Amino acid sequence: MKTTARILGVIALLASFIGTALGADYPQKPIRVIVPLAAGGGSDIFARMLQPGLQQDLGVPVVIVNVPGAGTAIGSRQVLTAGSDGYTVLLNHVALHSLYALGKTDFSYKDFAVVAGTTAVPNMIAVRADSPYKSLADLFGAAKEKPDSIVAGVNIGAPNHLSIALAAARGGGAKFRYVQTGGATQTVTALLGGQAAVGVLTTADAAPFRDTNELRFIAVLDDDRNADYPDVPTAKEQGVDVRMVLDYYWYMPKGTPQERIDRFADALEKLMNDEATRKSLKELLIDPTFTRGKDAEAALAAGLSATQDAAKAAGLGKK
Amino acid sequence: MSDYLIQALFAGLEPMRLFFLVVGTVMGIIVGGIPGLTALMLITLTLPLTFYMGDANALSLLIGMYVGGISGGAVTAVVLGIPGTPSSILTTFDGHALAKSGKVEKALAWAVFSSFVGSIISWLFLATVSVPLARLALKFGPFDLFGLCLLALMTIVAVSRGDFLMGLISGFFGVLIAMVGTDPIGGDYRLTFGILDLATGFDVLPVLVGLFAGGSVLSWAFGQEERATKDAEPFSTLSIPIPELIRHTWSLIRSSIIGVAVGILPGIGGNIGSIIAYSAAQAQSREPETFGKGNLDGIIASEAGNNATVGGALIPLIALGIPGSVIDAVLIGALTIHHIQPGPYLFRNNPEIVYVMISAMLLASIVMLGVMWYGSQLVIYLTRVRSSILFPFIAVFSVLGSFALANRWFDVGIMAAFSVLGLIMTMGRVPVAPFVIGVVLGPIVEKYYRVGLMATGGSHLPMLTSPVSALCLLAILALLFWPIYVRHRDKP
Repeated sequence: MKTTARILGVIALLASFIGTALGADYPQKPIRVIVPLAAGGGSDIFARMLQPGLQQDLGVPVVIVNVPGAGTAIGSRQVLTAGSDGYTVLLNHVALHSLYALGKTDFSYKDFAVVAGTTAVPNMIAVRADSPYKSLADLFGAAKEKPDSIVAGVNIGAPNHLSIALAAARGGGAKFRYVQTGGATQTVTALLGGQAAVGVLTTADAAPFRDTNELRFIAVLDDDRNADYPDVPTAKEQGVDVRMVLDYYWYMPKGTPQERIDRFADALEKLMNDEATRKSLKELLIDPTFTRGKDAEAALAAGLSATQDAAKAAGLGKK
Repeated sequence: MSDYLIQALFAGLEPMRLFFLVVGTVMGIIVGGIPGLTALMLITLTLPLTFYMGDANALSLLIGMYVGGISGGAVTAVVLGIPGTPSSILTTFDGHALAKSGKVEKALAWAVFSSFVGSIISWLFLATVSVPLARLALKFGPFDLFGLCLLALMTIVAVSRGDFLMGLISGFFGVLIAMVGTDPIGGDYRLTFGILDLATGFDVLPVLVGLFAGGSVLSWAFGQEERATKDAEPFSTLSIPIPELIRHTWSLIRSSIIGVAVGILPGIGGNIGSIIAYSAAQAQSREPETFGKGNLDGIIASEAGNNATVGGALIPLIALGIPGSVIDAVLIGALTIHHIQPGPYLFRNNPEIVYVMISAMLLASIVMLGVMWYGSQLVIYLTRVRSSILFPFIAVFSVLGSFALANRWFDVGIMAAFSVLGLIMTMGRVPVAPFVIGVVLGPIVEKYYRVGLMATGGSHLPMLTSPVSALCLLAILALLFWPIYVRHRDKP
């Protein structure tokens, strides 16, 4: 009897150790969220908007750390090789797919433990307001008539390039002259200045130009029309089946205990259902969606495969 | 219209706004003056704190930091020969040379005053003609930007006078170092030797901090220091004699206008305003050989040029919602956080916030002048601080700043490596300036050259038919061949 009690005691003790190790009382120390992009940018602001809510729910400080460089590769790799204790989190978007599809990283989302996906921001194809192109048919028709003459201002190899390349490939093989332009700011500059005839902007990036007579958006690359741009038809409506949506995913290093992943995902889910958070995200024209578990994995798989197709269409696939 | 101007002058004068503006400007000056720390770091660190502030207060604080940060860099550049911020690189030449010859007050007075004039002239453009200027700047194509930056690269010739070959070699290696990292087009890694950390290349900040600050620390450690020191004689307050002011008026105006122009242009950046202004000052000077040896026009060009980029870069932000610099991109973030939509309709939808921004720019310039002019007593004290106290501080901030850039130790390693290089270059009498200019300008020249060729399908011809790029190329030819022509003409 005594022996049994002793054994039970030892087991209980061991269990409490295991419990601690598995995250029964996670979190206990500050959690670092690595944003692999520069401070002050869109991703950084998004992370910092969620930070107070996460902190409150998790009960420990949540520290946003910006590790920019190499199109998110450097920050992402830091998390890949970090300790799998649930105290290092990565926030990244479709860049993780495009880096892998282009052979610039040897790791993809599959090498991380996926925590959850939050928000969805679709890409749109944009031209100047006085452009003759009013639809994808106009644009692709003109590009087919005179291949390599219509300048598309993109960031070569980045999601904005892949978006239009995939649309062009699926829309009958129109050939644009792709010119290195950059991200959202540079795209707007090039479109307004006439250095580029067509470019790609997300619904959030385009917010300053919504309802202005500066830019025209001819297609949104999503399955459904965007509530913030109800007049912009989807590419699908125009017969071009392309979905290019930038959504943020949260990752932890592979091997992180499932309980800890779930705890963080719970906090995110609660936050994304919080009215105040939803309101401030909507003001930035960011759709506050939430996915986790199998759904998140499936969406990531679809995202990666679309990105790989796009890379192939752009002639940039992994060699 | 008069109502508009009154608003643009005084919208920032509300007590709380003014309080945050003064706090921001003073913090900016201090952080800008510390080698390794930059206005950008200060502003990005402050941004989350402004979430809970009113929009006008937040913008007053941030714009104060912007103006103060760019100005503060001049102090360490003059007194220690170490640029406090990357945009003050060129101030080290003439400013520090003048300080070493015993005229610290004179050098400081001109650096501070030029900063002020640069700010004010850029404010004038910002407050009056921002919309048409922003539209005009959009028209500049990649070849135009290429031409301008190539012209700026000619400054290498200017700053390596005396030993032209060494300067050229130094500049060449600067460009080469800048090639390491990610190809600007397509993003392939190059010269990284399989080290992923090198994929971001050598950022200007750790390179600069290493060469100047780290290099000085090592020079001191190895007993090779050269500092501007001042004996215990009483300080005279800063002053600028009127005749001297009149003599340099044109220089002030020209440098400021160049700074504004560079600031507005998309995708060039503030560091280059002072470089182009400097090369213009030298090209127009009757005594170009005195540049780098304490020429006042050199100080004016650098400091008026870099401060004028602040107002210049705010122009596309206010007129079109396009950030003219990295700091402006953060300001745009600040606007969106405060539920203000930047863009072409910013002025129509939120005129009050535009007024606050424009007014803050003006007030920050005035506060900056006051603080730096009368705070100079304190600054000159730096020349009396013992090296054994000063240099360890510089070393600490060099490490801090390099780490803070991207939160990784790798940049601290880069900084350390370039400190050693800086020491070697100083010992071997290889000029450091051309190297730095190569690092700063190399990537931009390369990018716009290649982007231009992509846009034209590989043809160079448009480079000659676009007036701006053609003019730049012509100016480069003139700069290259004029001295040769003069030499031949003078020799029978």
